[in-house]
Amino acid sequence: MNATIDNLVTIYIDGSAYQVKAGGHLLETCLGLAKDLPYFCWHPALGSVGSCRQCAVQLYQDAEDQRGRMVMACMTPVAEGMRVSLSATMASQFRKQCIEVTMANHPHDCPVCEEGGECHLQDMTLQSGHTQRRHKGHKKTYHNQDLGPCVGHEMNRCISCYRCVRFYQDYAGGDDLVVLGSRENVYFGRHQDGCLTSHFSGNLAEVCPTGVFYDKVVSDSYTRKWDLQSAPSICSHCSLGCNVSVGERQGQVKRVTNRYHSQVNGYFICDKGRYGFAHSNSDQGLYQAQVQPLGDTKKVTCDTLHGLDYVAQIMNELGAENVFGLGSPRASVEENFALQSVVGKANFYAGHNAIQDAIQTQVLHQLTQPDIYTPSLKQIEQADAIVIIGEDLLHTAPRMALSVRQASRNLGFAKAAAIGIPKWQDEPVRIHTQNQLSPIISVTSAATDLDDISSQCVHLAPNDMCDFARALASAVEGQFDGSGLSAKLHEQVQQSLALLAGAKRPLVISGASSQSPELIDLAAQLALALGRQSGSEAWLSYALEAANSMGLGLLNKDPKHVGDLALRVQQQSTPSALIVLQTDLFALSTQAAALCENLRHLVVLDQLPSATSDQADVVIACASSFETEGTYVNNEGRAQRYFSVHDKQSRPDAWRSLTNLAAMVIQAGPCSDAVTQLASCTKFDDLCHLVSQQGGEFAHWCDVAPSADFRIAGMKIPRQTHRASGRTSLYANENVSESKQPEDADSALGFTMEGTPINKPSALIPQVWSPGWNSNEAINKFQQEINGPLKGGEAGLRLLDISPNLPLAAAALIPSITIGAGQILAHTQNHLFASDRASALSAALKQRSTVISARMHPDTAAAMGLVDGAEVCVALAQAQWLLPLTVDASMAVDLLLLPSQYQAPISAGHLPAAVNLSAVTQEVN
Amino acid sequence: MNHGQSSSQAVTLPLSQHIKADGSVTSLAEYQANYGYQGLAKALSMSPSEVVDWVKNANLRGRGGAGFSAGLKWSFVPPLEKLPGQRYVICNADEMEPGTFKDRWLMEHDPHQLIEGLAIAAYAVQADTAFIFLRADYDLCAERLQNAIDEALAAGLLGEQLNEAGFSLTMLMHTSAGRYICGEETALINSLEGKRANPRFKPPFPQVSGLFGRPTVVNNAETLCNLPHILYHGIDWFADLGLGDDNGTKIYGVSGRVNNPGCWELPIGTTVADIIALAGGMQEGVQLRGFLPGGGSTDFLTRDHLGLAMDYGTIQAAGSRMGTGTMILLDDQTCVVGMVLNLIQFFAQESCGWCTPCRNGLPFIRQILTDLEAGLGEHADLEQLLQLCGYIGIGNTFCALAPGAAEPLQSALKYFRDDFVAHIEQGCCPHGNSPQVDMDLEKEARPI
Repeated sequence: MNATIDNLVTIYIDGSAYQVKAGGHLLETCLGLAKDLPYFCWHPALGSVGSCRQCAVQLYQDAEDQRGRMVMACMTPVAEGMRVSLSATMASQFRKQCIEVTMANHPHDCPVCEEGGECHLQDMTLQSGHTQRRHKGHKKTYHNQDLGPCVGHEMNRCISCYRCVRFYQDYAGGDDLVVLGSRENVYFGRHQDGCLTSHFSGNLAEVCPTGVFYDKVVSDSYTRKWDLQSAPSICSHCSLGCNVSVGERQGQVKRVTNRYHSQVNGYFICDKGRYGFAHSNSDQGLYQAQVQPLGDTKKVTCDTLHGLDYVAQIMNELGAENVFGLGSPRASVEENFALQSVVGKANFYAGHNAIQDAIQTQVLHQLTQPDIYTPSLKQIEQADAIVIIGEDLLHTAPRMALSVRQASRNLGFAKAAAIGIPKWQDEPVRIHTQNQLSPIISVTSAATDLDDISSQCVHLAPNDMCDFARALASAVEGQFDGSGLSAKLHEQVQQSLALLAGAKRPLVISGASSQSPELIDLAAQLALALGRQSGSEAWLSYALEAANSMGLGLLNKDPKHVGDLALRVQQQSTPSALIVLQTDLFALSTQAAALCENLRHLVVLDQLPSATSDQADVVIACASSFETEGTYVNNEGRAQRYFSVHDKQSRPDAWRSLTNLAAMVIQAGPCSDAVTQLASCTKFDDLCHLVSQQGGEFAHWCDVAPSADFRIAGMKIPRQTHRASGRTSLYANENVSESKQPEDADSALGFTMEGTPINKPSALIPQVWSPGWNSNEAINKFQQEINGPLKGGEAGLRLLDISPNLPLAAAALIPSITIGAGQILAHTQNHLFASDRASALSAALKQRSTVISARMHPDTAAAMGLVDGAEVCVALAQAQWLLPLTVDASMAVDLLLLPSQYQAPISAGHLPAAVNLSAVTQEVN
Repeated sequence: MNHGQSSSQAVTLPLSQHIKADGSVTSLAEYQANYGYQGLAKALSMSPSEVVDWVKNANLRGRGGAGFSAGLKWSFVPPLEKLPGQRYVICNADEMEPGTFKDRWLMEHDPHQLIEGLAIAAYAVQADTAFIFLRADYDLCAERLQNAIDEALAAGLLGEQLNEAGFSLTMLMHTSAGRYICGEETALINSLEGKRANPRFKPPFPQVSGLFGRPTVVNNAETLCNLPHILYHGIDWFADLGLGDDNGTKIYGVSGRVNNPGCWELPIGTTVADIIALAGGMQEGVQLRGFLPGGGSTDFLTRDHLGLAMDYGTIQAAGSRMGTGTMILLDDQTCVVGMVLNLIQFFAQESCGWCTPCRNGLPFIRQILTDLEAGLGEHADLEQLLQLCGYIGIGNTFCALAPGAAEPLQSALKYFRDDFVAHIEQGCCPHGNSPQVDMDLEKEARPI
């Protein structure tokens, strides 16, 4: 939003007049004006505390005042007519002296420091002008702690800026990283060695202005920032679409860091996004096509084109109408679209089970209702009351949990504003607010990470959640009679109603992990009721299953899921084939085995092996999101593009394999227009153009990011930094003559150093750098204003804003679950670091995955004769799962929570279901 | 307004009038026998705003060091109609300023005087809860204060329904965990809340958002001890006690090589020379060279200033501060470098670690002084020391700790520069000192 003339003030900096936004402080104002002013303790997301004293400026009373007085820019609100100097001798000497004393104990171990070359402390030291060390004493040395597999600790480098604890505790709600000691001996760490428990701990590496907290995974196979080839990417681990920057060297992804998007992830990502990249380097991945001709017992590897040719033959043999495609919520829109084109819309099914499909249909219907708006993560932070229903956000949409945490402070901001304390005055706001938080009502099956900021925590079984949501919605509408509700639930609804009474900007959050389409609907009804009560648009946000659930939903509005497919294949009289895109059928549905039985051919396009690829007779290895380009549509309907970081592809793009397949199909004979059009695509932009021709939400698909012919000053945007080294020797072991850098015909990014490091379109910023700003703090040079959009605008396109209300398509009726004798209703408990195969391949995350156990309320356990820690056997259909039982008093009764775990005998896709549960008795010999 | 009782002409040293020579504590009965708790009774018969005005007009200046008008401080608390709800008063009895032991003297011997004063302050700002934040080491004070609180409560002088308007007061004593920074009022509040004792940014001032985010007044113990007498005897009486511009009496103290170190109540504005005379003068064979007039964080003054009146304005005009009014003397046989090193060491150790100039600047200075004292200094060090004093000076730091710490050093460099130069040129301490810094601090165990 542009500032109106009313809230602009004129200030004078070193004699020049500037019109700036009122209400901010001098530091952010100066940085926003592209001035260089050093700082340590201030962080754009954490606000000001005035501890480092590094941003001192001279403030003058009026035009006559020549002497002035020194103030800390970060603690000084801008005011009309204010006169300041950044260059005044007193202030600049002070800043220099600050660095001198700050550096007295710093080990100057830059050559071996992980932060070297992208160190804010290095940058600020140079900026301050301090060059001569005068301190003669010994340096202090500290014990470094083992903080687990993700974050390294090198306390000697600490300059005591307090950012780490302010992020970890105040911003992210962690409680195991603290400041200990006092005076020159303050210590930032844990009370004892041990893994940091926050799921956002990796951000410490970016928040720390020097190398105290560093990315341990990067450190294991280190590359300097300037030597990383980087690409803008979108995290593929959940539906929020956090923007990330991926860095590689010599074909290996080295690291993932936050890439600023003002509306999505801001400055922070979760640890799964940061550390869950190992699958891309994994030797367990699929790298070669494999074909198992009929009658053979083993797959043989072949090149991709050969494999595709085999698929084309299958298609010709069976006839197009007998070839089905199963898309994936984890694959890009372009990949899904290409598969849909190959098999035809009628034969395209979503990689969803019936419940997931019904949920997706509900989500699209609700979010396109005219009275409903789905906020971005940044907007979620503006909500003044939030009802979370049926979603354990930390494990399903972690960055959203962080936004909810920020929203909980709005009451405090308002309270502080009433006595004139601006929002950025971090400590005064917290002190004045104390523990008062905006109402957050958390309705989940068991305790969650957000319970500490929730005004009301209600732990209910899924069906009761529906009753709760229905009752609360009617109570908000003033039509609550409470009949049919238990006394306890009645009281809980009343309590929620009271908490929500004064809300002006209420928000309802729900999501796919409830596994209840009904709850998705009821959440929307509640949001609408609250919207009417507050006289504003209803705000509703859903956490979805996967990175591109929304994109797949929009492509597959006439929902068909794996159950429909199984039925159709079963009923087919002719032999059929299925092409599966990045999906493990066995994790999705208990019908998978039957489906595979009925197929003549099973073709899998994937980057990692799965039970499905094991069953397949053709496997086409395809690139992960780090090696190809594509578009995910996030949970708010924002289409965002990612780009390949690798110059040497180890396996082809899935979209290209599918266009190649189309071309092969054409050669064999007449085929549909869709196949013909797909076959004509030689570049990614051609495919995007084809996607856009579908119209509707996809009409502006080519605007999601600049096309491959975009140039600045005739040059592409470099993936490498202008300081990249070793270009001529990097592959000298393979070939001594310098090979030509590969061309990238599919994006406006080049695999070179040449090109401008600044003024890039927002979607095409591989990494941030600006003269004198080598660390991620350089982002201030890319923003329109501090915390504002990037200079190139908000990247991506919100599709649902232009969408008409999508009808609630006739989704499959979800049969109600009958709980038989000796059975119990089982639901999924998500675990951020254990739930999926991509993160399961990250050694760092694997170490951090929690102990896997089934959970149950003590009363329920007692009724079933089970005790805490007992080994139990959970049986569903043919699957059996032995695992320990944890008794959890926070849970709803009559419910079993099963961990969502990669390769578990019973996966999230099989639940909810009635399962048999029995204690495993030790056999006595 | 009636400005005082008519029968008050005799009392000239009110604060110490109950202090007995044998060091025993004044009981409630003894205290009440001599108009004890009548000041509070008088206050309770007035409206709170009348009490605020009364004290404002008495011009009682804060005895903790800053000298800010107590009544004016109270008046910044928003009126109840504007900001209803909880408010607090706190007695700052965290007396840790080097060379200062005046509050201890008052609290150990006459605890009811403080309790009555604190109750008056609580009434004035409509606080129903008052805290005494007591220095960790003051065990005897803690015992005697707690006994006195219990006595007052049992006698109905504290507790519920203290006047017709229904004023009630709970008084709680909190013994500090022992950090100098807790004497800084906002760090004190943080500490009382159970947080790290870091000072808070102002604004908001504690009067608006203090303890637990509520309006809070923090007054020094000696300041509060004046209140019963001001209420009882009146403003004119109080004004007549002072010799110069300031009103009332002051507890002055002297430490150093005098014959009779200690503290005494004297009219505010008594001269430095008279106070030192009361301390029995210098010990035989030693000459006075200078003095820190009001504790370890005030600038040195010299023999030239002996005739000055010890009041806020006069001492400030001479380039120092009256501070706590308890002076530390420097004699000709004591090494000034060693003395300031000792002080800097104290302040470096007591830094809370929040802001850079204090946390890292003070140890930086300590290093240079340690080298100087060991005879390893260079002439350039003196220039650097002055630079560093400026660096940690007023306005540059988060609170007043480091600027206070700079005061003895910067003035020592001004008045006793020859001593510093002698260290450099002779390559050792002319007084034969070796550095007194507890270098163990450098090696201390860190969290593991």
